[in-house]
Amino acid sequence: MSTEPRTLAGYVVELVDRLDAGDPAAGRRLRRVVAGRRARIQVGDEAVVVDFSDGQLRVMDAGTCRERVDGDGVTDRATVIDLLDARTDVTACILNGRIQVRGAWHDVADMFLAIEIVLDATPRVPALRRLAREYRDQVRPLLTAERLRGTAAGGYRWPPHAVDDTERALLSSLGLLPPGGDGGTSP
Amino acid sequence: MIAYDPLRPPSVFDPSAAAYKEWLHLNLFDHGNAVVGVVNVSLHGDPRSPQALSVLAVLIHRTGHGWVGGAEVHGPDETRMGTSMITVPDGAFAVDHAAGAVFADARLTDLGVSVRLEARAVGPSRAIERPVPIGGGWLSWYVVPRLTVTGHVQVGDERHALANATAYHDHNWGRWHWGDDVAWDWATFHATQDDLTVVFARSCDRARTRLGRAWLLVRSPEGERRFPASSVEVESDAWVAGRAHRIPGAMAALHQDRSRPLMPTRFRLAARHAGDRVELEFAAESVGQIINADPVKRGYGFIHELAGRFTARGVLSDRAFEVDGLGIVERVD
Repeated sequence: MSTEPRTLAGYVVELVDRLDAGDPAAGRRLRRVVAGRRARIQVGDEAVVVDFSDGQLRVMDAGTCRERVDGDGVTDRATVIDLLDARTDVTACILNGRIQVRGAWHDVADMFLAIEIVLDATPRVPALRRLAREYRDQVRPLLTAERLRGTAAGGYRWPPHAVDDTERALLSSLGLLPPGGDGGTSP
Repeated sequence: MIAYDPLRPPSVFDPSAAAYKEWLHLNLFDHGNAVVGVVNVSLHGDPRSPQALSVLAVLIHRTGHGWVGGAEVHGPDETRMGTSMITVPDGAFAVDHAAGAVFADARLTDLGVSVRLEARAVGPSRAIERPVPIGGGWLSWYVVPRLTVTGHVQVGDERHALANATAYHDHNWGRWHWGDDVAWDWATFHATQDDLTVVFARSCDRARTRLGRAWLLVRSPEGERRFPASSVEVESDAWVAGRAHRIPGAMAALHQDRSRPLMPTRFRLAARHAGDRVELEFAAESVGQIINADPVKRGYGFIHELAGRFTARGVLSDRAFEVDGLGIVERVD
């Protein structure tokens, strides 16, 4: 039996295989949602490019892949563990920059929908639950307590980066600035 | 000694086995340290199915700090059921009815909490074996309203030895699917002094437009009083869409729309019957949310735990009382 830690590419392949085996309808829904598009996924220092070609998952090394991508999601292992352990939530992670997603709005929305399809299937697919546990068991020892700090109790910075007046006006008109709205901490 | 109350897994002939739910539950009230705790180990789905889930949840609320804790989900291969005991890799929950004792041991150290509790019943247990209809299914329960408890709670690196602590224990079992029109309100309040305990429950629909009959039990040194449903008034107000501590994390990520549940911060109970009366007001401090996924159907149940303090006054068996203490209100939808 191999004791080699699974790579990000290995987790993506396993995740789709186990989803297909445990909840074929969810696997088909996943393919429909992301059909014809390609995404780059980076977790820590590992990055892959993924797509479905004729329904078959392709996982490519992001360092050598030269194909166009439609969306790009970046996070780190500590954030994934903090989310799984309920130390923080998705909104806080996006607002404080621990999750960064780039792409056209409809591509970004569909990337999140793809994640939702997998999360939604997890309670009914034991093999996916085992994969999540394997990930936590593999990654947790690599993270220091300091990195597992979470942000749920401490609020978040919003906006997470400097914005110009035009962007601030747009956010304000959409009601997306917290009271004060100047980059302070929101509860 | 408390009444014998075994676990009730479905038989192999039970056509509703896939909808099986059962749990052992303990609420902790550490009056000395102003700590409220929830320890719950639950079973979801036919235990013979590989899809079945067991969930160990530990939530600890400290005044001024809010809720901490988490939940670990396990499969049937990692879960053992005894006559009145459930064990999972990170904890165990057992009831010794002959000794009137409840034991809970949970070590969710990666999630920052662990507890070791040994509770002894102060008074008798109550069994409500007649199934209460909820959604398209039913729910039965068994309750020990008040126990004394020793042990410790650990949050991060801080270990609290319990000081003047009491506990509430219940055991629920039934058939329903999370995501169906299943909801209830439940609460228990433990006075710091005077051994006064209040337990309230009622089923309802998720929209709370159809309310079931209120069940109110008040236990004091003079004995127990069940107030008729028609004598019980319930009021909730000061609703706030506050940020909740939500577990398990993967389910919280899936249901981002439920991250700020609208919950009451004040809860009032009043009942008057045959010379006895009680008026209680509870102020919630913060909300914990346990998200239960159904292992068979695509559906979710949201259990909100509101921890806080209460004051109560009234008359029981011609004796006036006025007390305060710790309480917990649970709203499920």
